[in-house]
Amino acid sequence: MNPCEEYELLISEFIDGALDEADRAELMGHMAGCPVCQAYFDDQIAIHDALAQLEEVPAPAGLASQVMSRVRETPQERPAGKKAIPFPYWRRWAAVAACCAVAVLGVLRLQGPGSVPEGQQPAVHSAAVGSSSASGTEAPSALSAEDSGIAPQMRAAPEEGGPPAAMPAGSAKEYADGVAQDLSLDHQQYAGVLSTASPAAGAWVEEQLGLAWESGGSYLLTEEEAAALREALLAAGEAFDEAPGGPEGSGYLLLAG
Amino acid sequence: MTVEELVRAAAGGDEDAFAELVRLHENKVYQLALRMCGRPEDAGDVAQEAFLSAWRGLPAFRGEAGFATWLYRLTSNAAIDHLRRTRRQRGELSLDSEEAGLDAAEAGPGPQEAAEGAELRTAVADGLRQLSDSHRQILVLRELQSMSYEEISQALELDLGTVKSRIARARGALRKILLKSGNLSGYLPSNLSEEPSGKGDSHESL
Repeated sequence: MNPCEEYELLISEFIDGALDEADRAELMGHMAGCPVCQAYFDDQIAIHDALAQLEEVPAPAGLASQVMSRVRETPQERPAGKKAIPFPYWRRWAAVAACCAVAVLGVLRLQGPGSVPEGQQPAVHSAAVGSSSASGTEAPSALSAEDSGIAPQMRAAPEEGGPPAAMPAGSAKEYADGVAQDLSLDHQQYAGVLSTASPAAGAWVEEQLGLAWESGGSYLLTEEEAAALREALLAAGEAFDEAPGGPEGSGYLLLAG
Repeated sequence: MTVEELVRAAAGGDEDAFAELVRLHENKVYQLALRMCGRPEDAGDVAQEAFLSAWRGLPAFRGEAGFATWLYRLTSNAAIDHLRRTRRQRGELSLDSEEAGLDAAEAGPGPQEAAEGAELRTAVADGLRQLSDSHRQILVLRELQSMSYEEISQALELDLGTVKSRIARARGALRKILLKSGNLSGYLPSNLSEEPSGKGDSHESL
């Protein structure tokens, strides 16, 4: 016979230790007067014990090595669903960004520190796209801090809440848009995308993440790691670019040039 | 390295880290595959498929559920896919049918169960194979993998209420099988071995 419908679930939950005091008392109270449910309960306890005693068959000896030989010939699926930016494309934009940085630096040197006119703030910082430009403290610099001697102004370059001032054609902003576009839907998953060909980045990845640096490869970073990497690159005076991800995104995608 | 560190490294392509993850989880994965499929050969294939799915999909694994929970989901999915494929090849019942337990070709005594002659245990192992795939899956995850309701909910993408009621139904179904094979006393008033349809039976579809 089947147990009383309301109690079938309670009995099952009892076996899983998921009943609170009140439900347990109710169940026991019911069973005291219901032999059908009591018998069902006894049967389920017996089944549960038998299941617990089923032998644990260990994996056969060769399984792990069979798995690994197949793993070695199987590529992983990148989360972006697309490949990282094709190498030549990335290089082209990086070269353009570097030229801009040099050109801007040249201009600044002529003008000297402290004399950068309003509205000509050189936002080489490529992450100043749309609303993310408010985060001035995150401005990476594509210039070497020592060279320019105007690093503090460079860092403060993106005006609060505003996009960078007019940049020469092929600016870092366009590069960032290119990055975002190439990753299209996918960059929304991340809070940001960092890209660099810097050897310091390679060393950092190897030391801090314990991963091999691979040109054209990509890595997933937490916020802390992304911050640490930026610090390391700034300290080493190495170039990198950054594009924002989606507002709901998490983690950072690091693209290896 | 912790499992989290191994997962992170393997997600970045570190094969040695993944090999370590395989070693750590292969017994549980194989156990689950075996109890789902019934035959050791099939279980081996299914376990391999599960690990390969994990390797391929690891970069996208966000870790909301634990790695093991995710791996068990991949394993039970691989088992169900395998069962579907082999049944289709043999032109059999769809797995969604509640009557679609493992057939004789897939069933068979577990290695030691028959030998030990522990009657109820043998009968229970056998009964598991006769359950529908979805009942077998959830009971194996709960009883043999010792997953919590929450973990099962994540692994099978079911809400908690469904998990609880499906487990209860699975237990009920298993008991029915065991009663038929005479392995449980049950409460059988002499003239009532079949229950006429009524309040007890309407929930079989779960």
